[in-house]
Amino acid sequence: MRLAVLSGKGGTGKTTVAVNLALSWAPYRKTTYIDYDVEEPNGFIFLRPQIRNSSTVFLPYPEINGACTLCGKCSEACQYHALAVVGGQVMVFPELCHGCGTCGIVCPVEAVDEVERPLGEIDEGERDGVQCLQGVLKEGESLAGPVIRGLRRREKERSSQVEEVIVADCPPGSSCSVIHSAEGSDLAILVTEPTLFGLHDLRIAVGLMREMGLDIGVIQNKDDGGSLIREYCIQEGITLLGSIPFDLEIAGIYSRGQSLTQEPKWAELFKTLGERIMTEVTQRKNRGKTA
Amino acid sequence: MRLAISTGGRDLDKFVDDRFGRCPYFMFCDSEDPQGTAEYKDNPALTGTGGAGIAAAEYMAKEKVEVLITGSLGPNALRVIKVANIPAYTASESMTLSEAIKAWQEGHLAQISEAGAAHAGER
Repeated sequence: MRLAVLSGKGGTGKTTVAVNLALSWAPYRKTTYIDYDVEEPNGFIFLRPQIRNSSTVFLPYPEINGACTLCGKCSEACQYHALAVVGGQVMVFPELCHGCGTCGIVCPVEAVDEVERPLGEIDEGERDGVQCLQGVLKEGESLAGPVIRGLRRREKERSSQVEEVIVADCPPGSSCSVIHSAEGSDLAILVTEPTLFGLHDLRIAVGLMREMGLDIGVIQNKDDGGSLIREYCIQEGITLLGSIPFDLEIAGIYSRGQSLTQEPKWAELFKTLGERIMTEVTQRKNRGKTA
Repeated sequence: MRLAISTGGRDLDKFVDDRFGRCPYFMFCDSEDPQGTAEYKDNPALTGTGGAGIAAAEYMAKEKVEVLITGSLGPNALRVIKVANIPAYTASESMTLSEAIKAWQEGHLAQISEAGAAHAGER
């Protein structure tokens, strides 16, 4: 079972929800937490896993060898303008290269060699029975895609094991990074907060998930008892999976970098929330089968 | 000399565009006779998602430009322009193309030697 936790707006509590759900499922199910927010991964701050493996994600870029005739076909073909043929040479801009390899394909004289540069890292570890993975994009880099794809490959390799719960902590926004992190999930859990900004971005995220054909459910974080999010969910026919109260104690535990499940009161809340999510996914699957 | 200026309009009375990679048009002319030789071409780099400065600079080399007048050049565009050995001069957006050409001829335009901000033209 794959659950994507996302939000639209940043800072609504994706990581808080993803981490604490993973911790509360771990005693009963094989659980893997994966931080797909590679530009700013922060789940490991709370999970503090024992890291047992780190690997580098590389991205290929072209290097031009002596066979080059300066014909300019590589530069013409490059959508990202990572190559320029000027002044009797081919200039290469590795930071603009997406590693697609088109320059090498169009080169008539095999003058393009592929070299690699490190783009990021994938870390794996474990904490209290939760298998933990995170992708980290190198500082100064802007291409999150290859690191996210590297994580997805790693996820796929691992999840051949039966009945595993995968919690994918997705990036904020509604960009390619979110799509690559969320696609193929059994449920998209949208974490929101009762502010106009939260609702605005929630609408965008809901639109995206519907476009992608994913089942959705909402968790309201920092619940102030108001009706803003509740009314929206009713209007849109979206299941409100649960609420986390606006509470000073939660803020305190969070700011110390600890997990909420260490406090019995909040452990209970996340256990209930986790059971609700499991029931929801199972019911939807069964409905899908009969329909 | 073959001159190129980044611009938003297709007339010598129109203004200089201070964006290089993201300007709508380039005016090309022979500096001896701007009136008689001015031609306007769409900036081929305008539609790309990234690397517009690089593409526009490469276009200058392809067009065999000998002098470039624009607002400023980002780090990548400047690298390409330098390798292409094209001297670039900075003009303000308040100048028409005619005024910019005149100012360059009279030596009033400063040569661009340092890069401006990256992505400055994305607006």
